[in-house]
Amino acid sequence: MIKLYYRIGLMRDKDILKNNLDKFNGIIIDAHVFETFKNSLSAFIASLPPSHTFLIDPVTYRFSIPEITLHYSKKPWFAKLLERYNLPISEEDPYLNPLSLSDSDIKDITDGVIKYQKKIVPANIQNALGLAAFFEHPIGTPSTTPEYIIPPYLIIDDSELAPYSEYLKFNIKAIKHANSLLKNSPHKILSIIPISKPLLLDEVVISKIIDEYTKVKTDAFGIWISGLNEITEARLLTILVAILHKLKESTKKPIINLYGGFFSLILSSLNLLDGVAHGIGYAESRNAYELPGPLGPRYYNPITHNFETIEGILTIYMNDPSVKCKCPYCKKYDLKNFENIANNLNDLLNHFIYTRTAEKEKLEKISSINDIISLLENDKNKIINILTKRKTPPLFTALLKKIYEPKYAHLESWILILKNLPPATKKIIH
Amino acid sequence: MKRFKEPNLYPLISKYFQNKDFYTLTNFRPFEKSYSRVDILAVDKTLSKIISVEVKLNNFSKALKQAIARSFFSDYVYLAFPSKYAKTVLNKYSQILNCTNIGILSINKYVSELKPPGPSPLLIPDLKNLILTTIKRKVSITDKCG
Repeated sequence: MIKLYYRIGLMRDKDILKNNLDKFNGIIIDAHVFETFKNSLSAFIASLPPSHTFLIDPVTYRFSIPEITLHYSKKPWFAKLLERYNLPISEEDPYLNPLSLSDSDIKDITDGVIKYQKKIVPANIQNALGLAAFFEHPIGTPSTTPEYIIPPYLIIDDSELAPYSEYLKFNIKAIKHANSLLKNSPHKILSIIPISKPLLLDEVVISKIIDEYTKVKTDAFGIWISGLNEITEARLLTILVAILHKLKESTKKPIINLYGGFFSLILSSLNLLDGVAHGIGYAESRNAYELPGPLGPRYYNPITHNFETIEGILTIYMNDPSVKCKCPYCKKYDLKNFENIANNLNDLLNHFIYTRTAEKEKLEKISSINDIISLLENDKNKIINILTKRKTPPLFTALLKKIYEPKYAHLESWILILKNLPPATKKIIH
Repeated sequence: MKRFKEPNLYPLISKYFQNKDFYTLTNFRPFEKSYSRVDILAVDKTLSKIISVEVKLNNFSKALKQAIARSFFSDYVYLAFPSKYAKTVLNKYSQILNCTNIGILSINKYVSELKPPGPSPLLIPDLKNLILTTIKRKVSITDKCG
C-alpha cells in the first residue's frame, strides 16, 4: 500500500483534511507551523482516528542558510524553536555552521529536537484531547506520539559556509546520537536525507552520501532533493531512482519522499518508495533556499498529473468536453461556469485530494510496469490529441505540439525513465 | 514616440482599432483569476467579434506562443511589432503566419496592417462566448466611466 502524507502548511488544510479522512494515511507538520498554531493543530491531531499518524518535521535546516535564517529570525516561532532546540545561535553567530559546531553542540541540538518531538508536542496534544472532547471532535484513541522521531538535519550541499561533507557529518552524528537517546524507547527514527539538487550531478559525492546513510541505524528514511521538481526537471529523476534503488537494496527500510508528486506515487508502486508527502495542491517539490510564496488558484489536471491555470484547463475541457473531470467537486460546475471553480478554493482543493486518491488507487491496482507505461502514454496522447484537435495544416499541428510540449514533456521523460529501469526495480509489490 | 517599452505602443494600437469602430481593452484578463493578460483586445460594437493583439518589440517565438494561446477564444489574432522588426517577421516567418492565420501590424508613427489575419483555426466558440461575457461587463463599465 502506498502511504500518502499531507503536509499542513496552512490552517485551511486541516479543515479540508477533516472531511477527507479516508483519503490519506498521515500528516506532516513543520515545527514552525506547529509552534505558530499549536492549540489548533494539537486539537486537529487529537481528532484524527487511530489509523492516522503524524510527524513533526523539525526544519532545522532553516537555521543554517544565512538568507533564510535572517528572513525568519523576526518570526515569533524562531526564538521559541531556538530555545527548544538548544541552538547555539547568537548575534555573533547568527546561523548554524557545521564547521563551527562541536560534537557536544550536535548532541545538545539533537537532545532538544528529540525532546521537542517526544515530549513537548505530545504534551500539547494530550492537553488538546480534553479540549477536543469539549469542542465535540470525534475522538477515537488517537496517538499522541509521532509515527517517527526525526533527528535534526541540515541540507547537504557545497555551500559558501562549508563543504557538503560537513553537513553530512552533522546529519550522521545527529542520527547516531538520536539512536542512543531513544535506545530503550518505543520511538522509531526517520532519518532525513536532504540533498541539494546540484549535488545530484556528482555521482561520487552522491555515492558517498548514500553509503553513509546506509550505515546508520534507523527505522525509515525520508528523502528530500531540495529544488528537484518532478515535472520540470524530469531528467534528474533517473538519479533519484538510482539513489532509492541503492538505499532500498542495502537497507530494506521504508522510504518516504518528503516532497513528491505523481511520479513519486509511481515509484511507490514499484516499491522504491513507501510513502509520498505533499501539501494540498502545493509542496510537491521544495527548494530549501527559496522562501515559499503565496500561490494563486491552480487546478490539478488529472490527464497531465500537473497543475494548470484556469484558462489552461478551460482550453482543454472546452476543446474536448468529454475529458472534463467527473469528480463530485468539478461536477458542480458545467463548462459555461467552470471558471468559478477558481473562486471556490474548497472545491479546487477537494478536487485535488479526490484526484490524487484516484491516482493512488489506480496505481495500487496495476500489476506490471508496462501497464504504468501504457497509462502514461495514453495520458500523453490524450493531451496532444486534445490540443491539436482542430483541423489545421500539418505545419500548424507540428507547431502546436512544440508550443504545448511543456504540458506533456514530463510524461515522455517519465516513460523513458520507466523503460530504462534496471530489471530488479521493475517488480511491482503492493 | 517612446519606442522601448511595449506598453508605450498600446495607445497607438488602441486608437487604430477605435478608428475602425471597435471597443478596446488593454491588459485584458480573460478570466477573473487569469495569470495572463491580452495586451490589447478589440471587440466590435455588436460585441460579437473578438480580435486579440499581442505587442512585442522583438522575440517572434514568444509572441507566437502567446498569439496561439489567444487563438482559442479570438476570431482574429494579430502580432504587433515596431515596423522594422515587423517586416523581418513577415519575410522570415510567412509560412508560419499563413498557416496560423495570424496577422501582422507594423508600428511606427502610426499603425499599419502588413498582413491581414484569417479566421482563427483554433477558435472554440463556447470559450469565446464565455470570454465575451467578461468583455461585455468591462465594456459597459468603460462606457459608463466614459
